[in-house]
Amino acid sequence: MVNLNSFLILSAVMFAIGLFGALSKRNAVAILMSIEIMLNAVNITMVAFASAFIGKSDAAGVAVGSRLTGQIFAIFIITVAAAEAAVALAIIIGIYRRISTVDVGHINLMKW
Amino acid sequence: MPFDLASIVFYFIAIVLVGASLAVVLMRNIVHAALALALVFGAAAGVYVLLNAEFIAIVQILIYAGAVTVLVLFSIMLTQGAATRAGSPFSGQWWLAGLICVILCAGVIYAAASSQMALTTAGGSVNLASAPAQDGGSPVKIGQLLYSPFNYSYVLPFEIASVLLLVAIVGAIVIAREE
Amino acid sequence: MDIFSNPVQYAWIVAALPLAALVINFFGFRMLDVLTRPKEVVAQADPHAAHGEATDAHGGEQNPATIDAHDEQAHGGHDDEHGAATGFWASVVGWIAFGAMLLAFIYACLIGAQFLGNTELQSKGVTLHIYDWFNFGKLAYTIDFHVDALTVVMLVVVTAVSMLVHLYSMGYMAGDRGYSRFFIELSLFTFSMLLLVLGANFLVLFIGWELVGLSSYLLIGFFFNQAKPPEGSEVPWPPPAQLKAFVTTRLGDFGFLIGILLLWVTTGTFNFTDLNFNTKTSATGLTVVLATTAMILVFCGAVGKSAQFPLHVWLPDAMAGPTPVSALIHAATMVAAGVYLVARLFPLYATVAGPESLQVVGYVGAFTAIFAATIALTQTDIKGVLAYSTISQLGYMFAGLAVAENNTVGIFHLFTHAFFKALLFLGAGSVIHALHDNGIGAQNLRNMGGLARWLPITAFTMLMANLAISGIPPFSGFFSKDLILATAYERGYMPIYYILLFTAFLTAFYMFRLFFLAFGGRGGAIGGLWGGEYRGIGQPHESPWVMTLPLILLAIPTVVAGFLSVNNDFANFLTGGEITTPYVSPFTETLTWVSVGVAAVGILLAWAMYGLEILPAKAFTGNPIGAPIYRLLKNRYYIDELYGLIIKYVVLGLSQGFYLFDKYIIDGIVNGIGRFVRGLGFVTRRSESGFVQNYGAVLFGGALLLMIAVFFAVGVFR
Repeated sequence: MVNLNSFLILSAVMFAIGLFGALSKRNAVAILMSIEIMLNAVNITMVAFASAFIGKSDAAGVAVGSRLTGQIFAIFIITVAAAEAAVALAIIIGIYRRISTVDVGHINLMKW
Repeated sequence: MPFDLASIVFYFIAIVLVGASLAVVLMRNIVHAALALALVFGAAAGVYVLLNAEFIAIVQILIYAGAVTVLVLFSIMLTQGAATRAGSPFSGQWWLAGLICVILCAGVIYAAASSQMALTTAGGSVNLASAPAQDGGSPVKIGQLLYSPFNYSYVLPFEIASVLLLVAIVGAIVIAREE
Repeated sequence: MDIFSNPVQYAWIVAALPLAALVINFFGFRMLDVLTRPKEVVAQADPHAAHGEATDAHGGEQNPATIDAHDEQAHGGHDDEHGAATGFWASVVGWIAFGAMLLAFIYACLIGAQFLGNTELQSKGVTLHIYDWFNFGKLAYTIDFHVDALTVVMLVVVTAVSMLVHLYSMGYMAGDRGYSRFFIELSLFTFSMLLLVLGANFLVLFIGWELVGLSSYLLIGFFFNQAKPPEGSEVPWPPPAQLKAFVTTRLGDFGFLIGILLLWVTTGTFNFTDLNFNTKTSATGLTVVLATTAMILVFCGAVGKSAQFPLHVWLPDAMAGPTPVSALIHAATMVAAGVYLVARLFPLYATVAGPESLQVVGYVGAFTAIFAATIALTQTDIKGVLAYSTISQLGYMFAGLAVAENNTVGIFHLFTHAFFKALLFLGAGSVIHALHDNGIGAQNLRNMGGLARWLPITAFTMLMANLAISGIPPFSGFFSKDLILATAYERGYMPIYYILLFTAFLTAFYMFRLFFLAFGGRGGAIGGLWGGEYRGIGQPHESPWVMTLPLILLAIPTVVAGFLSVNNDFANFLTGGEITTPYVSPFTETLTWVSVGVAAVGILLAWAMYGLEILPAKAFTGNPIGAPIYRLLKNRYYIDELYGLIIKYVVLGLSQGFYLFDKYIIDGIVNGIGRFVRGLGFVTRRSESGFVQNYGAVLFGGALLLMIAVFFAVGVFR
């Protein structure tokens, strides 16, 4: 049986894999890709919750399920992720142009 | 019924997702990793279809599998000199990152599995993958929720998101532009 | 209109007028003046001429070559390369300031007229609430004005002298580049002084007290860019003089402030009326000893402001300011603020505090009177003589306050002294003005002589003032001085009486020494009184009418103001008709004629020595006893040198100790903390690698810890 928990567990595993990549990869582009995996994992939970709530009402009788909060959230996340990807890649290219590397092990400007 | 068709499809997609994600993280060749990422995006779209969220699935294909993948490939191309250099693709703290991730994953799974909310209120026992289709995922419903000026809608956040996109576009151009 | 029918209720107008003039001039016409006046000529070889605001005070040291450059026609007595005429806007500033003062004087007279014959107003006065400054729970700090007879006397004196000095300054300062600034600062001073006088509580008084100190500072240093006079010159140099005045009075203010706070802590009020009439030494935790201490501390402020020994040193140096300023601030009004303060708090001194407090006042005053008078004997700077004379007369006032049973005696001397001392200073200014163009030491008595021939009005009015200050009947000084002497004698203060009597002799002598040296001399008319041998260079000239008119106007009260004391009129006015002792005409007392005779001996001695010159000064200073005394007096008892040594060795020595303490103990602690933090940072900064993945790992590690903490909290691990 595939209930809500199945999706949540899938999402948690994907998130952890993406996080591992984000924390351990040296290539900045690879880190970006890992972050995209994390965002997708979150999106899956969002949509899964939305599906689980369809047809449900809250204590006051408002049909919250019909508002599809999870799906709307997913859409916004995708929007933001697209923007983030564009800006992040621009930053990566900018850094590459400046110091000829995208290895985050060589980028420690945050010290100052 | 533990093994209906929907469940089988779900587990298949889940295995593909996890495997492709691992491939993205672990593969030494960055271009291969990018292709695996495209597979992750496609499989995630499959999960959305399974959850009756057709609109999201299509958007996922369009934006992630299409645009973001191409963007990533472009940036790989533009930073090629660095991408092909030798040495471990992982930094020195990979073991710490792995430890954190494993414990975090275990904690989240434990929390999800023991959550009262997930189990009872929100239809935890319902087989989501084979639930009857309602109009929840249809573009019409989503469109009403996003744009309707009369009913309950998310018009204002939507407009703000458009401004955010505009800012991101301008910002990206300014950052990446050559002096 | 109510403003005219009941002017007491609008007494603030008197103070508001100079303030208004100040604001209008400062933000309006001075700007126009600065914008329109001709540019300063910088290319001048002579440092005296290079700065625009040259002064009377440096005339003595000018090198003769520059004399030719002076425009003989220019009236103003300054370096006239920069336009002898006052600029149009500058004169507008002057006329506005003068007009405001004229109106203030008229209004003060209106208030005075309302007081005449109204005994209730005279004794009780009126308190005007201006506004609440701030409230702390039950404590209310208010800006209040109190108008009673004492205030009215001070208002009239201050506005009258200030008005005349404004008029005089138009002539004296003519052509000076700082003309408009001068009048603005005068307005500031007058406003501050009126605030001081009007204040109904210590807060307002103290604000005015410090503001007059500030304006005094500004005006002493009016010629702040004047070149330093050569060594040995008697003329003080403005920049250090203004600092000296400020710092020395601040010493007294320190005690004053402690005294105020002591009174406030024990009585809980700043209000003079409450303090004066409702203070009980038993009920409020105020013991007699404490009250005496507080009053002596308050008197410290008066000592500083009124230049009493040992804080008198600033007043002679304050003569570095323009002469009208010396007349207004350092002779007639501001220095009398200390006397006013003691008079204002007189009930506290007399009834609440022990008798020691008034004894301190009396003996400090009497000692200062004779001390300063002896110094004045030998000074050759015309303003220096007058400065020491002022100190001496202020000592008289304090003695007069201390010996009497009310404040009328001291205040009456303040009243008359304000007029004749202002007249003396303005006359001295007229002399300096007349001589300045000649480029010789314009303030040095040795360069004068016989000036009565050229300056008849100045000489005549100065003679009136000299007779007044010497205590010759029927001039005003006679009545007030005699009142002090008689009171001291009657109430049994014999030491004070004899000191003051001897001082009266000295006063008569040095004042007429000044007069003969400046205006008379051998060969003059009436035995050397009028004209004589002129020791200076060039041709002195009488001053313009704006300068002589104030002299004439001041000569009137100088001559007649004494008659106000007839039938105790003045005392009754001040106390609201409470004087019960019958009036005794001074002319019927033998004691009076003793003091008059003493003064006459002084005058005759001066006449013999400097007028007829039959008795050479060498007779006193040439012998082995007289010579060291002369040197001692000439060097002002070496007080300045003594203070210099004290500062050099005691103050700077202590400072050195404190410096070392500060350097090694205080700084050691501060630097130690800094060094510790630095070391800590040296260790912990390794955590800041700058690698973004480290930060990410810490972020998610933190999230992990939070998660574990939540699990603990909800009991997962139990």
